[in-house]
Amino acid sequence: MKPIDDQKTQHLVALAKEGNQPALNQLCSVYGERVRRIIRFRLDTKLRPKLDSIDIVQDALILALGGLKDFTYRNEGDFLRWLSRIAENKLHDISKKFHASKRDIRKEISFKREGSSTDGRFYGAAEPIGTTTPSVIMRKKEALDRLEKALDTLKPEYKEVIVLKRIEGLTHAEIAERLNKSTNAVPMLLFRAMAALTIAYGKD
Amino acid sequence: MNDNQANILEEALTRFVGIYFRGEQSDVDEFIGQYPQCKAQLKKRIQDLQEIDSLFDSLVQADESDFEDTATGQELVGQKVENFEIIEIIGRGGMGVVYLARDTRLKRSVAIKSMPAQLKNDSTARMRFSREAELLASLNHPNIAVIHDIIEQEDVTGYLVLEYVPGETLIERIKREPLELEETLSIARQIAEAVSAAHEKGVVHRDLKPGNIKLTPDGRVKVLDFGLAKPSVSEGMDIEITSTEPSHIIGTPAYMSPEQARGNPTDHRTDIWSFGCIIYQMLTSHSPFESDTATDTLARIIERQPDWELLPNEIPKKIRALLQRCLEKDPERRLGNIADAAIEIGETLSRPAAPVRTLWRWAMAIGFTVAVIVVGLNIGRWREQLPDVVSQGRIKSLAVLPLENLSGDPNQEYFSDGMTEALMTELSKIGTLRVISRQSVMQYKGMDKTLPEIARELDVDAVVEGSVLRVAERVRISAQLICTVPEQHLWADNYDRDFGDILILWSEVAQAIARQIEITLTPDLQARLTAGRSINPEMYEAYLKGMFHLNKFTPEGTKKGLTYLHQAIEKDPTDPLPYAGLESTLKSAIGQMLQSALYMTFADQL
Repeated sequence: MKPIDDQKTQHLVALAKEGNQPALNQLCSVYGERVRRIIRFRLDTKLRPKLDSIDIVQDALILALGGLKDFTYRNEGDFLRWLSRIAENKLHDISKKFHASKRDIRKEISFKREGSSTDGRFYGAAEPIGTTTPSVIMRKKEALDRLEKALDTLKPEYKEVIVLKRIEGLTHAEIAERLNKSTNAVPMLLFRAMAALTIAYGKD
Repeated sequence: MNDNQANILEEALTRFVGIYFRGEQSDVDEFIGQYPQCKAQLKKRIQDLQEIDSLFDSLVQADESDFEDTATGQELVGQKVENFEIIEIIGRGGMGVVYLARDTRLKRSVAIKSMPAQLKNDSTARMRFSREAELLASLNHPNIAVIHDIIEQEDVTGYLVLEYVPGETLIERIKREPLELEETLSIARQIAEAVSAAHEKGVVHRDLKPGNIKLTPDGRVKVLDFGLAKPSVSEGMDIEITSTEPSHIIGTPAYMSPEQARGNPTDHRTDIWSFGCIIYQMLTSHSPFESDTATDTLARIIERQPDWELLPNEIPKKIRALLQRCLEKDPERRLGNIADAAIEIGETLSRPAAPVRTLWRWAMAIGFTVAVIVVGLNIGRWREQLPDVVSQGRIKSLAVLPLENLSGDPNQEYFSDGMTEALMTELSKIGTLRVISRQSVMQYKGMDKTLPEIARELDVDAVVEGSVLRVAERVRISAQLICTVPEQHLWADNYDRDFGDILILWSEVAQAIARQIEITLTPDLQARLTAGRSINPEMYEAYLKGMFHLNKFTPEGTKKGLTYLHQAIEKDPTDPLPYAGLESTLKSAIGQMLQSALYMTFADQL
């Protein structure tokens, strides 16, 4: 796969900051599903069903992109993490509200799924003619689902170190600080975690 | 693999992750060679690791093609392509982007579809695309979205200008709430009719699914995305653009036929399979083979039977059998012609006592009977309290649409028109029913309007439509009664009679209709409706021709018409029909200021 040169995203972000709607739409299409996946990886399983309401991610993205003015673009990974952080906060806000009103998330039905996550009504399509968004990430849906399941079987420490490294992109020192460990211990923990993940991923 | 082996594998893998993450150069085969106990396992796991790694990469980093896929056409929004203003993207799929656009010349909304990029460099596929578009354009079927135009441009892919169909898709409808059996059958019949019309022209859809079917606000079904850019494999050109390779499957393969799932050649029967899947889903709210993953789904399509237990009990046997024939895995054993499905569904729909209703009645009857016994009410009354699909007396007005002349011979028009009138005359005997006049109805002859539209314009509760065919001395007639709001087929029947018994036939039809709309047949009305009698065929023939010409209201028509009526009187001077024809002609002729000329002719001839 060809990694995208940062300029494209950067250019779109610049355009979107100026309020260019197509640029905003395109950012949503390219990053919406990624953000959703990333959040799913980080979330505990109870909160996940809420995320399946695509609207939350969409709302969060719009919120995030609305706050683009405060964002200084450094690189793509940064941009994506920033987006998913805002979306995740928004999600937590919503779930707190639900807790406050003493409703059980597990029984919450107002976030009923509207079709599958791949039915292409993600953005800009007021009336989709039953088509799908064939973005790269969508095509990997099955593999990502499997990866998510494998991650869930790991012990929490393993899961966390993998997310911090591969998604958050933190350095070993930063991870050590978060996990309250010595920097030297991080690589071994990460390798073990990845080996465990690989084995879980391969299991049928 | 025992625990020891598992431990060795895990250790080896951990070591490998270290080497891999540190970016150290290493020969994978050499590394695996160090672990002869679990060589194969390790090799497999290393592949998994690389897959996982690239998954994480693709998650945090967009791919060039992501931008291409999503950007295509985005820049077109707000632009103009010829006389079309692109308003927004309304769909995106393997076949390209679909826009809502405004036709500035004709002031209407259209859907514009960019041609698949794959066609750009493939002149053969392009030709087929154009040819298929031409075929589709010639279809002109009320249940198929129309192609308005093709815009071809140099260097860029072209565009298709299609009918814009508002409304929800069938998949949205199914997800919203379960469908009633009648609604399901009515939708299924319209799909079958659309697909059958396409098959007749050699166009196969190949991607029939609820997402490609729209339900318009006025209750009509429209099948979208017909045949385009899905070249037929059986033609020997094996460029299946909707590839069966998993990475290229776009959306769900749940409606794929077994031959498609296997990557074998397909023909029109692939649509019949998908049609079966759609009916199944309408009946059960589940598609018959869908599973969590595409691979599983494909395996189920090939190996498993759908769960027939899920089908509701009240489904008529015929429909159940039809469904099973559509979902035959072997195309040779599958239903061969979708037109047969349309007919069978139509017959089930028109049968007034469909099992579902019978069951309902029984269930209600038992309930009522119990209630009646307990409360001690008059048992004779309960039947009329039974709910029925059409409540009593709801139909107070009715229009007989011009019966279709099945012979295809314009010289037989007089016959179909005459039959239409005969039925109207018969129905007019039902005093409590308002039957729309001939003149108001005849304007719809050959006109392509929907039943709800016609019913609205004529302000009627129901319409009768049908067809007639005369072969020598036999007459074949089919008629159906359709309630218009909500559109519901209440009754239909076919008759095959001697020409001489035609009036008896029409009185039977009128009685059947009267019963359907639950008009109480008083003895007097009964007598009038059963007054049907045998007639002299030659007299009747001349009479029909006469009325046909008279109804043209032209001087020449009048002359011809009168000649025929005269002949009719000669054939059977005792029959009142031709005299009545003369009388009514005279009346209207007077009204039309033709009075003097006609009166002279008339007086002469008398």
